[in-house]
Amino acid sequence: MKCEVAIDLIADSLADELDAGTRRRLDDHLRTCPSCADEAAELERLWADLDRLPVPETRPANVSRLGRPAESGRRSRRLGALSRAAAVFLLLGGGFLAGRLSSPGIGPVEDAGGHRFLLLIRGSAPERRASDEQLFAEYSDWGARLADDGALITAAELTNDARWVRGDESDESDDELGGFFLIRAPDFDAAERIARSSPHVAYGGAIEIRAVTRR
Amino acid sequence: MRGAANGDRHALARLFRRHHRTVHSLCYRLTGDAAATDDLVQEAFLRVFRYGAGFDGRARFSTWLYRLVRNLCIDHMRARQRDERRRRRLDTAAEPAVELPADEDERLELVRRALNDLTPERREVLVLSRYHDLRYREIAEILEISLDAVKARAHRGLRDLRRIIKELERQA
Repeated sequence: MKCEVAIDLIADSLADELDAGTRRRLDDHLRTCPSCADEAAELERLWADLDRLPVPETRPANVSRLGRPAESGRRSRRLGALSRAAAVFLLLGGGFLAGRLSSPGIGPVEDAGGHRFLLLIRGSAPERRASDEQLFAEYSDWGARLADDGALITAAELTNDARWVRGDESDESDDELGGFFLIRAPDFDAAERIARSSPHVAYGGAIEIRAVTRR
Repeated sequence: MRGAANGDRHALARLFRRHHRTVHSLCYRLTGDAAATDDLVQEAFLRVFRYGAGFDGRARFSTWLYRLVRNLCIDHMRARQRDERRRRRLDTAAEPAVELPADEDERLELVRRALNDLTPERREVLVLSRYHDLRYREIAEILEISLDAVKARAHRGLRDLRRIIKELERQA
């Protein structure tokens, strides 16, 4: 066996890709070739070292940077963990909740027993800590409860691209606007209770509640 | 996955919990970018949910997922390379010398750097083989390349890794 072939076979051997016959031939070669045996020992060490390389822990929700002005006049494309969790949920609002929504779309809604409110999911928040999995589970459960209660009319995620058209010179709002929920509630207080029950608020995010006109 | 594609909330939550660690590890190992990993993971799951209906059951779900994550990471690395090239054009200062933090395991730091210095094609084969225990033929399926190409990348990847580590040791 040529040494060059042996080196490739050592790599295959580490990846557990050698059949028994080839492994025997490689072992025979290594017994008679000190240079390849050294190489095998070195590659084995490297293979073991690779296994010891740590993966950083999932970063806990750190939303302290939300609400800072976007870097070059445009919104940052990176979202804080809270907004990311909200984004997953808001995406689901258009997906798995679709069949459960009382009235899809945001056109005029005939709602006999309530008012419509827009919950705007905003980012500014103090730092709170939770794993992505936990955030995801809590956001999903909250949204599903709203849908099951018949309160949710629709929800949507917003992209990070924002354009502002305004007449004065004031700055853009600093808050990230991640998406919105259109809900049905008997009155403003009930809408506020719904917003307060959301994990977004529990983790320090902000929700702006706006009543939709009845027309 | 069928349930998730059909919009079952519990199936989606299960999917997220079951694969989160794998996706997180893969994103980090493929890009070597700890700062971007969480965003990549989240984007990966958004894509799973968004394109879940595109999973037609012909490939195994894990193959489909690996492929999706890998494509996402490649996009990220390309964007990063573009940014780095732009920065280099603006900043012509010499590259800083290799400095090993005293409180880190120096050998592992060298291995980490060497892994990040591999070409993306060789690194992804090594990562999928070493960290995800995938067989060469499974990697070939994920990357949609031949078995021989996987072997060649695995062999060259490991050799490159050795060579880069030696170079870094010399510099240090």
